[in-house]
Amino acid sequence: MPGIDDWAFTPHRMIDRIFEECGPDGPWRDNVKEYFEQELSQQTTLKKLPWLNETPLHQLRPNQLVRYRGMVQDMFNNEFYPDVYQVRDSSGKTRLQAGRYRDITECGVGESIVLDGKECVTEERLIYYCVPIPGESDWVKQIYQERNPTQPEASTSTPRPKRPAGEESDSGEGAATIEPMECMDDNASSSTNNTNKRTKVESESPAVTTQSGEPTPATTTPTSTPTLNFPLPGMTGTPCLVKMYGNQSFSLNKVVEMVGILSVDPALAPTPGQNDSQPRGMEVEEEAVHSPPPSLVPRLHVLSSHSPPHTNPLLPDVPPEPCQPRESRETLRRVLNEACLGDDLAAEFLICNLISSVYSWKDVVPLGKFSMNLSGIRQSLLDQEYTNRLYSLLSRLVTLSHCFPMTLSTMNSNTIIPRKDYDANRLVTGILQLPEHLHLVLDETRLTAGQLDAQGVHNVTALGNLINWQKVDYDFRFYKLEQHANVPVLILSEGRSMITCDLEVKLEPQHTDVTGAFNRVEALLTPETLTDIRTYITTTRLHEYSISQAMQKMVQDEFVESRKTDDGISADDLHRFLVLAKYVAVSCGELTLNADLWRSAKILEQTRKARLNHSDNQ
Amino acid sequence: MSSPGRRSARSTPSKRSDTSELVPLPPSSPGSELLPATSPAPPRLNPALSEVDLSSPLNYGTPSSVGSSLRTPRSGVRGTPIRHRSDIRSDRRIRQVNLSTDPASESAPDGAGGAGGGPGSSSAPVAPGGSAQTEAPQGPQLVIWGTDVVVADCKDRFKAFVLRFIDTAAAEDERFEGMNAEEPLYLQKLEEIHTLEEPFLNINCSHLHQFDADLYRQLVCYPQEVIPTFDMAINEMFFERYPDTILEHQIQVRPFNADKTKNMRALNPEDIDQLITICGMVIRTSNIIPEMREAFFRCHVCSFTTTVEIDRGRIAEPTVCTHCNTSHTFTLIHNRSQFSDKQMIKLQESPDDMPPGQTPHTVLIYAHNDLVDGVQPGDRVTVTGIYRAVPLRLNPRMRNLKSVYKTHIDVVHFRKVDTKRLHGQEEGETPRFPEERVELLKELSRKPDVYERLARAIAPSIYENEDVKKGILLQLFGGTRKDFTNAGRGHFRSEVNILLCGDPGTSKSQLLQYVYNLVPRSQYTSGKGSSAVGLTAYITKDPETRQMVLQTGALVLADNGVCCIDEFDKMNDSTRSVLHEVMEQQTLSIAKAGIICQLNARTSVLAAANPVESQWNKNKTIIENIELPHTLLSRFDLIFLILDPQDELYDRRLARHLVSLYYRSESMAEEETLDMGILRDYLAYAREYVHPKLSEDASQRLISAYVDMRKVGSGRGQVTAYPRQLESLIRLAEAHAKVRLSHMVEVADVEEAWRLHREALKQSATDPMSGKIDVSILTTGLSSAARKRRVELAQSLRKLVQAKGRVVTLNFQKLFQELKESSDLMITREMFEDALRDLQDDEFLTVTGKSTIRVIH
Repeated sequence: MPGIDDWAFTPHRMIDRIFEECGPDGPWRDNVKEYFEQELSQQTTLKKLPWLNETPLHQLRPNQLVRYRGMVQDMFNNEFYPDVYQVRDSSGKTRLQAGRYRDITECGVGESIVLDGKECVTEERLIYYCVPIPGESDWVKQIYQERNPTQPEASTSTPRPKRPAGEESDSGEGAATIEPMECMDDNASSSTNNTNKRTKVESESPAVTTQSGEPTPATTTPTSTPTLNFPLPGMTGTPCLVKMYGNQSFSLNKVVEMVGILSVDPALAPTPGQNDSQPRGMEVEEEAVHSPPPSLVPRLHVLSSHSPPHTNPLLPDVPPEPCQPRESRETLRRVLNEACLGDDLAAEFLICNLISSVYSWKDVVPLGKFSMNLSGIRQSLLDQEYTNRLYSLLSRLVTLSHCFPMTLSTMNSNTIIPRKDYDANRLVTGILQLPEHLHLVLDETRLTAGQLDAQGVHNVTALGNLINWQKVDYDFRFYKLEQHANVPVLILSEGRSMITCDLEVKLEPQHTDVTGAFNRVEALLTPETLTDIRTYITTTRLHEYSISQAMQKMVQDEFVESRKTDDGISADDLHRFLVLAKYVAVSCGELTLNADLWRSAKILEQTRKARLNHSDNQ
Repeated sequence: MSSPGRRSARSTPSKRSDTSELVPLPPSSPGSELLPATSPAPPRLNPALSEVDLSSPLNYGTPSSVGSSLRTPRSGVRGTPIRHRSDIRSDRRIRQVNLSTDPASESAPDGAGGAGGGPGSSSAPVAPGGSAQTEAPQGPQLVIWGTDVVVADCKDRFKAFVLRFIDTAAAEDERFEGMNAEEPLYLQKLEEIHTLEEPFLNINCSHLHQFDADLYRQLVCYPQEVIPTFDMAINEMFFERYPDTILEHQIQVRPFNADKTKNMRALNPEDIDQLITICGMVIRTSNIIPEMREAFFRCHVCSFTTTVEIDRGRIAEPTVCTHCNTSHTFTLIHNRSQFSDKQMIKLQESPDDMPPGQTPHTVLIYAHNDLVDGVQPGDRVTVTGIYRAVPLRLNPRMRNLKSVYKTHIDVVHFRKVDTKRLHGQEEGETPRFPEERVELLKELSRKPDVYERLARAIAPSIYENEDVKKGILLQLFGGTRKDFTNAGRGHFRSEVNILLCGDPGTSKSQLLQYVYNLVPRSQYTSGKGSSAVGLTAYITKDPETRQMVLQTGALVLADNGVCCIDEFDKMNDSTRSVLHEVMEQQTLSIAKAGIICQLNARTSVLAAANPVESQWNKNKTIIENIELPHTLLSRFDLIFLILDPQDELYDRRLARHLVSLYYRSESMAEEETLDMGILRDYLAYAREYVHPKLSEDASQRLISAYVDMRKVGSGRGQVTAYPRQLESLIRLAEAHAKVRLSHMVEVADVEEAWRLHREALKQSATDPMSGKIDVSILTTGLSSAARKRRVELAQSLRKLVQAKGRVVTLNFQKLFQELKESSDLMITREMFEDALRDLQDDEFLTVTGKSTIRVIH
């Protein structure tokens, strides 16, 4: 690839050039950063870089620039590496090399590396273990797939018979070549197979994985494949060990988009017998997890990274104002109305649920959460797979979603709360390790009578905490580490849910023809309307909102007035009214609250309450 | 990366008597520039110097000269062997260089090279001495290669430190018996070593810093060179003083509390090879790893034996036998080789040091020799050691390197942060605050409205309820711990227990959540979900070892913290009953599955309960409203009712407060989290350093308050206040004094405690019938008016029976009917039964069977 692709395919050459130009004491670090940031700031060039998520590893050249999006699942210890090192050739002459953005310090034939020369510099870099964004909807993946530039076959790679992952020995290669010639043939698919196998094991017998963080006792050999630590069952894709330089840092569970140098040197895999005379003892398990075979978990040396405000590929990072919010809202309402079998009230509340997000924390209280319990899903509807159909519709509308079937076995398994595995020194993920704005659907209709064990009680508590306080207490054995979450929750249940929610909406279906209803939904969902709804949901969620002075006064007056009567509204009710009013206003594209919206919010809430009371009395 | 001084020194290679000059690549790091291999200087032999060496006093102080000790007559003379220090890797050769550029002077001091820790590798049978300097003080300045440490100078200064340093303010756990604060501290410690024969000397680096800042800097920057020098110096001093002593091995210096106490996260490449002190929690320890220190080889041709010391983790097997000149004849004799203990320990950042949204960092620690098994998982320790980084070699035979270093700390000193807890003192951690912070806190404490300010800082999102917040604030401060063990009453509880009781939706849970988030050692549980064992402790069988394991529950985990129990009313009775012991004795007794023990549970309980009818019934007492056993209720110092005040002004302010939450900017939220940090520090500071005592005036006021409380009831011939209430009052007053960081409880504190107590009581113990405050409601479950009624009813029943004349048996139902008719009050069956029981107690009648009453005359 000639021309512009130079920096994209052989970024190290570029870095070396800048290093030589500036000299080891010069501002080469800043210059490298600046150079790449400038190149990458142009959308057109950026688009030419392949996504690591969508491209099988064997189609990528080692050390080329790739884009990657993922969630920070775990943070390993900072790593010290030689930023500048010396290479001495056979004649005793030395030259300096930049070790930044590399996993392997290299030298040519007959040369040796000096790490403690006086011009050598040691630096540190952050290491994050990233997983593909959990719960990313299929349509999002598809869009990225379509946009992914087609990769020219990596010219350096020569097909070789497939080897089981992780068994690369370092006997032959690496000794002679600077660029690793190892081919990543079929590894992508093998990793997928692995994942599938893993999830199958998990779903069938969760007890197997409960024993330890490792899948099998075979972990005693450092080469056995560690689990990829995907939070959600059934997830596929490429995890990545991300190495951050400079002052870039992100917090746990953040979704990050980055551009970096792909590093897949097979020498990075743990190899048996490499442990020289040093007794490693308890490091063995750790080694397996912290340096997995690069064919399974490639390394990425990040040149530029950012955490996008949303995960919708249809929109630029800073989304424009929705052009016709009310019309989009109407489309969405019609779709949801059909999906709720003609129940308009449920559809209205679902809209609010879809666009809800915690926007601020007031000491321990999350503001803006809008968890909802859609109850009244009767057996006749369940027979027609209503909950599955509803979830699959929602997953086509939002960018991130997950449906958690609450069965006795899933509740009693310990794969829900993330916990620290001190043996392997990593955070073993659980279903509740979720990125922001993931739409969590809890299907309580699956729950049958039976006994919850101690773990099950913990899990229910954890789900309750997530719903009511938007926090998850990660289990660090000696203590709990609290993590804030921002996850809108929808519980589908037959009666009232066992976990209290912000509000319960009782479904009152107008008919019971589920198939017919979803056929009509299908007819409504043309590609255009889908795009419209998807952009609408994302933009609306990011909407600014405020309450004018006059409205504040009105709301206060109303509250005071209603308190004078006996069954007046309580403070909790007011909270609910205010949240609901916010989402009603925002969903209509309004920036501030006005009297009409306030009234319609109140009507919605009153209807909902009346319906609940009505059914209670029956 | 390092000071220019480390590099500018010109190299003067040390004398080396062996032929195979090993290039002393540092085993650890790129940070310490030793002689670069690129400029190998020809080894210079200076055989004449070995004599000087033998007479050198340095010899017995050189811990590293193990190898040579076998052959050096001096070292064994006093019977105290030298012990290899694997913790500071003294097996390295230390070279000295001449700072002077005069080439002429170079050859003379050559032999002094290696004085510091002449490693005694087998190839250098005699450790080079350093006496040249002491004999010729006018000679050129010799420094250890790569550093600016002058061995003799360093030793002299350290000796001066030991001789002259007097510690005036020793921390409690550093004190030892018979310590005299006026005398030089470390001389006393030497004496202690002499008595106890424990050959370790712990040096507090802050003392050294105080005494000689430059020496301290050298210690921190070049521990590997300076610590052996200290060892030499201290041994010289020790054996001068106590020449006949025989120790297990020579004294080793263990510095601790280096000033650069770091957060684990802040460790960076600049700290490599420096002395660092960090805190953390031990999460894992490995088994003991025997590490070969010295290999013993025997030639199986001529049975010539030789020993080889470990060098950078490797033993170089000698190929040619020097005795019979055959190759490859040496075999390793395991049981004559020497091993040292080593243990790997994983230390994790303590949760308090961690920024939000991050996972904790860990660091690997190697403990050597005596420090092995010094700590257990779960311990919080402060570790002082040398930070190391080792490049990770992909394959010994490959040229390319994985560009990563492995880092670890070679520990020289452990200090358990919570050793004090073992002595039954309060607060596990000793919070250490920087001066500015303490100043800030003190300034805050001087504000006249500090009490209100702090109370307002508690859960700012919850509106009003000032008194409740004040009560919680006092709970967080707690009273003063009093020990009456000698008087036979054990500890007096210092923790304040609070019950919040009120209508649903009055933010009780939020208050609990807030406290839970604020206090470091707190637990949050819900009454609905907890069982008695979950709160206390339970025994499980470890699946692997089949051993019984005691698992502690929420109350024990909240030792020295707050246990927040939500939905207290939903808890079942048997669960609640375990709280009795905890809330007064502050202990938990376990007798189960062969394990009988008493655990400390010095926890404050903050409970929240809903009324029985979910809505507060104004016509009932608190007892009737929450239906909790009064024995439990009386253990709460404060019982707050959180009721809707039903007041327009209040409603309006509440509405404004709530609405404002929904358009606030995020910057406001951040300001308040800052407040939380200050509040937390303030609490920690007060709890640790302030232990107020009652002043004379205050105790007078307490007495009069107590007498008043009792008078209220005595008007009706009832005792209404119990000693427990007096204790609560004292605790609250002490807590209030702590708020002001005052060491004396003043009258004002008592007044506030009295006010709060009354305020809480006014709501919770008002007799619905009489409208008066009546503490006996809490203590007996009955208001005194009710008790009075009961007595009256018994009297009228007695009259009724007596009026019947000489009847022997009466029908139960009939009598009940008659009583009902004769009285103008509503009489329930329970009341009737109570009256019967009272009369039975008076031996007036007996109830036989279900329906017959026998009158005794």
